[in-house]
Parts: sequence; C-alpha cells; structure tokens
Amino acid sequence: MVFELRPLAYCAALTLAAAVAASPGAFALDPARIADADKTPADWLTYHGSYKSYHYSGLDQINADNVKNLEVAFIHLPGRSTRGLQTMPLAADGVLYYSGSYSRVFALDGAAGKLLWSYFPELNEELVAQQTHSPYNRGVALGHGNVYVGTVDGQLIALDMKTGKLVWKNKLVNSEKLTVGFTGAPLVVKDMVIIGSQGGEWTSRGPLYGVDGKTGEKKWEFLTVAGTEDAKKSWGNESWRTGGGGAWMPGGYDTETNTIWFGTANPAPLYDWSGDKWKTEGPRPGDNLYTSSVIALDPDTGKLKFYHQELPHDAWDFDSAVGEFLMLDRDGKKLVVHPNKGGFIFVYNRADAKIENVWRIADNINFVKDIDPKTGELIGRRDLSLGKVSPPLCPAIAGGVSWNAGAYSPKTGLYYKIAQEWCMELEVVKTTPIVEPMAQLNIGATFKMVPPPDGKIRGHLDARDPVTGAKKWEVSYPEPPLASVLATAGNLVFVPDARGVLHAYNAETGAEAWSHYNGAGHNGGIITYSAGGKQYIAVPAGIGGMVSDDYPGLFGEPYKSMPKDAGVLVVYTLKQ
Amino acid sequence: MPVSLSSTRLNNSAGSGGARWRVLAATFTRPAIGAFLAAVLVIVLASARGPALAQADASKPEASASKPDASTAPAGVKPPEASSGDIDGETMFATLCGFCHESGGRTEGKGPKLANSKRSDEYLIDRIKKGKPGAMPAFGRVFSDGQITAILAYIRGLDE
Repeated sequence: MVFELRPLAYCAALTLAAAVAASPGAFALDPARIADADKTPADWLTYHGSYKSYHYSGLDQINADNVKNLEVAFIHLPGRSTRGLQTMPLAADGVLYYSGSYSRVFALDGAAGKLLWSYFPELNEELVAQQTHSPYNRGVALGHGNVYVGTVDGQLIALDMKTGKLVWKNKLVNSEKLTVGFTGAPLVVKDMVIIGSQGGEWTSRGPLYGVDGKTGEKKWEFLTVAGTEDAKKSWGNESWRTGGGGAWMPGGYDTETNTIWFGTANPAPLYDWSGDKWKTEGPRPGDNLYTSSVIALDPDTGKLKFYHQELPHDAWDFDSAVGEFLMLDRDGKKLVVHPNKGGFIFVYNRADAKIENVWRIADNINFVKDIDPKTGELIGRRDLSLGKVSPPLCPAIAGGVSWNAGAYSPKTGLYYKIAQEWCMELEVVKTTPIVEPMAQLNIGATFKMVPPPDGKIRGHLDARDPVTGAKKWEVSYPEPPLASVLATAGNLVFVPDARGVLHAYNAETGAEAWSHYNGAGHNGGIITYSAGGKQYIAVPAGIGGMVSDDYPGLFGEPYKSMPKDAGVLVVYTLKQ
Repeated sequence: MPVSLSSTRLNNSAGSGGARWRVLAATFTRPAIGAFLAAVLVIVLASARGPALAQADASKPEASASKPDASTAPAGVKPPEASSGDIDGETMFATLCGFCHESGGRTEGKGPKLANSKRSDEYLIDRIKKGKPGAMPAFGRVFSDGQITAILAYIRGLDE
C-alpha cells in the first residue's frame, strides 16, 4: 500500500492529532489505531512502526532536499545505561515513550523534550548480575491506555500512559530458576499483550505469552521448544530438555487473517558435534522444532496455525529470532518477508508459510551451499564434528544479519537492510548436556571471529526488491551497523551506524544527504513522529550488546574508548 | 541420557604444552538447595538424575500496590564443597566462557584475552565469582570453588 501524505492531508492529520491529544480520551490508545498506523503517520505506535514491519513513515516535512537543515531539538539522558541504549522509541499524540537499561521507562513531551514521567522498576539485581543478556531493554508497547515493558527478571509491567503509575505487573517467568527473562518489546494485538522470553543457550523452553492487557492475566503460553506432541518427537532422547528457542523480538500481525508471526531462536547447545548423523546422534538428535523457525499463531488462543522451520536442526546458531515480518502484496499474492540470521531472506505466502522465494543478502555464506528458493530446503548443509572446523564458518556467530530491523518504503518499493560480512574459526567441544535449569549458557565451542574470504570484515546497507532480492544500490561500512533503519516518505533512509554517526541517504540513489555524530555508537532503534506541527527524528545512542561487545577486540578504536555504560536519546528537527 | 563423569586433563602451558596437569577438584556432595546448585551438579554429573521440566511459572498479575515478587536465588548459600574427583576445566570453559573469551581464552573477544594474564589468581577467582556489571556475569552461584580452580588451571595452562 502506498501512502503518500499531501500537505493538506498532513495539516489535517496534525490538527486531528492535536485535537485527540487535547482530549482526555487520548490516552486510551485503542489497538485499532495500531492496525491503521499507516493513516496516522504523526505517531509511531508499535515497535516495527506498524503491524506490517515497514519501519516507514508517511511524514515528509523532512525530505531529501532539506535534510541538511536538521539540527538537534533536544536530548534526554536516561542514566544508568549499562550496555548502552537498545530501545525503539514510540510516539503517540505528541508524547515520546522509550525504555532504557534495567527497563526504566520515560515519557517526554515530544515537542519540548521535557520529562512528563518516569518509572524505574525494582529488579532482582542479584539475578541481573548473573545474566549475559542483561540489563538491556529493546522497547515498550502501547495500548489500552497503558505502556507495557518486560524486564530481564521475567516481569511484564503495565504503566498508566498518562501518569506512569503502575497498573499491574505479572511475573511470567521464574527467571531465578531459568536465567532467561524479557529483553524485547511486547506486541499489542487487540486485547492482548504478547511477549516472548529469551531462550537460545539456556534450558528454558522459550515461552511466548499472551496476556490480557487490561488485567494482566496470562491467557496463553506457547513453548517454542517442543510446544506440541509432534514437535516433541523431533528431539531425540528427550533432548528437548536441553531447551533453547525463544521468540525474543516482537513479531508481526496479519490483520486480515488474525495471525501473529514470530521468529524463534536456536536450540541448545549452539554447536552440535554429531556431524551428518544429527538425525540420530549428538546432544539433540532431530529437527528440534520449533527452534530457528517462523511460527504463526492465533493471537487470541496461542494455538499454532502453521510454521516453517528455516533451519532444521540448526547447528550454527543462525536462528530466526529476527522480529521483522514485512507484509506486502505482489501480483495478487499476499507475502511476508523474513530475514534469517544465516544471511538469507525468506519470502513466504501469508496464508500458510509456503516458500515463495529465498534470496541471500550476505555475500559470505558457507554453512550451507544454498537454500532452495522453491522449497526452502537446505542444500549442502555443513554439519560440524568435534574438533577444529576448517575452513572458517561463514557467517560468524553474530550472523549475516542481526536483530536490528530493516525498513521498507512503499514509495520506492525498496527494502533497506543491513548485512554483515564476517566468519569465524571454530572448535567444537563435546559438552555435557544441561537438562535442568541453570544459571548460564550452553555453547559447546570455542571460536574467534575472522575476516571473510572476499576481504575485510564489513557491513553494508542494501536497497533491494524485497521479493526477488534484486539490488539497486549499496552503501558499505567498515564495521556492520547494529541499529535499525528508518525509511520515510521524504525520500530518505536513516542509518545510525556503530561509530555513532547518523546518516541520511537519498532513498532512490543511496547518495548521502546528511550526517551527524551522536557521541556514542548506535545499537538500538530510530523513529520519526510529529508533534506541534513539526516532524522529529528520535534516535537512541549508546552501544553495548552481544554483537557490539566484540567490536573493541575486532576493530580497536573508536570502540576501545567508547563507553559501554552511556546512553542518550537524541531528537532532531529542521532549523526554524 | 546419562553421561558418566570422565577423567579429565588440562593442558599445561609449560614448554610446548605437552605436559598435562591433573586437577583434583571435586566430586560434589549435593546439598538440597535448589536450582542453581542442582545446575552445578548437572554440569559435572550430566543427566544422571531425572530432569525437571524447564517450564516457566504461570502467575497471576499483582495489584499495583503490591510488592515485587520476592522469589530470588537462595541467599547466602555456598556452592557445593569439592571433595574428590576430576573436573574438566576445558569443557566447562567451552560450555560457558568461550562465548566471550574467544579462541578458548587465547584472544580478545567480548571479554579480554586470558592467556598469559598478568592478573593474580585471587583477582581472577574474584572476577569469576562476582563478574563485572554490564560486562561479565557473576558465576559465584554456578561454579564450586573446585570448578573455579579447574577453570583457573585451564586459563593458566593456555598457550598463546
């Protein structure tokens, strides 16, 4: 759907937004507004911008011609930004909402930048000190008059959108037992708040929860590890007990079929030593459903409708946990596009997850020879045995893509997505199966990241057709950018890079139109919204996380000197 | 799928690494103290026991005025005492530590290079137990003193 905002319509939308903001009911935020997010570009109501995962805004006050006039409107310091600021801010009715490390939540006046309220949850700090994916938080969700945030110690919290006061909280995960909690943003769908736990390297079975937004009552739970009897059979020797999985990034929602789509993470241990005998031997014989899969559920009941396992028996930690489910229609077909960490982009039919195409975005891939674009079958998979792996495995554990989202512009028809080029030397070590909850990881290897065969470690922003993968242009970076991408109707694509520079490119050509240094690396999201008649760009800066933690060792400066406990929300607008 | 505890050896850094150390560290007596310590046993003793299902707990929401959930890791509980037996520091390292300390601790990754570390034994033991906020998890409730000794021996035995 092409949404082009004309000046008159723009003014009308702003007037309407202002009127809504002035009314007491403005804070109810009916989730139906999220379903119609395309129609209210002044807001950014959900993590992916809309249920279609476009990370696109119809705002065009800031455009390729005047972007050179951008300046900082205001900044906000969340404090205690251990491991940076990974959040995707949200905006509704002129108010900007965002979360920081330790799931601290802030509401700011979107035009003046003044703090309206803040909320600091009480966390189990002793547990936080034992976690690896801690204490960061990737964002909040809005709906039912509430702001929802998950915590690394397993709580889902609802705050009053207007006051920041606690409405309810529900300790969904016994994180003290299972180690895992919530790092990703929740997804609001109708009456429900849906949030997935981490999984991956732990014995947890990676639950995804549906919670009543008004009451906080848990309505359903879907286990991404052996969540059905059929799935249990895909884990030989009851190895489902070693766990993994998890759907730790918010997914998408198909409003036409009432279906939520989520991606799931890898099984544990990450690396299997059974080689080509993985169906019958090793620590987790079989396909290991529903890990490294896309799953389609009924949001009301949590029942599985259908799924596709992108990597049966994932032996490389190239999971499917990326949250983007780009929904678009092409040639009469209703499609959904989903990136896999292995560096492939899967295109599915939205009706049943049947494969429509698979194309590669990363240049350096050798964990398989290919993936069949008609069936999704892995061709020439490279299963690992004990000992040193040679040649190095590509991509490296950090993936051909990471969890940071790309953007799709219905105006240009292009998908703007970052890919990563790196490999790793690997030695697979036979570990003892961990079948009970414990406090730490289950990896099963030692490794070292190394340059790919075709040159230096690098990242690149590609502008491609999302269905065919045909490339229009590319911008290269010496280190892979680790933040999400934003596309706007102003013919712009924004890329916050890892060094701390925010770039704006012409969406048609890739020519850089503007850049500005934000003082620290970017490792989170970026949005645009409108307040008081002006368009703003909001981007968190502050680096730290499981991928960027490798950067000082890999690249030296400026990463060695970059603080890993700093965060700032920077908000831009046009000069008067 | 029970796995027996195997006799293990650690590389010694002396010379070309041909010499072997044998670290006597622990066969654990298992105090009945909950999941964290059970986990320690699991690492060493594998799945000899009937495993408990790793299910998340369902719970009702709390009213806004209520206190946060008080369930925490058992406070003040010591890791199990080491007695006799062997611990494979290299395997433990590959299971838990190699994710950050790359090449088995030989090169810098997310965490620092550990081979030929100038830090004292006391410093390394303290860091393993307490971690470093935002950088390294605290392993004091996961590893026994005997296991930490084995990991330290593994680190000290690393070649470049």
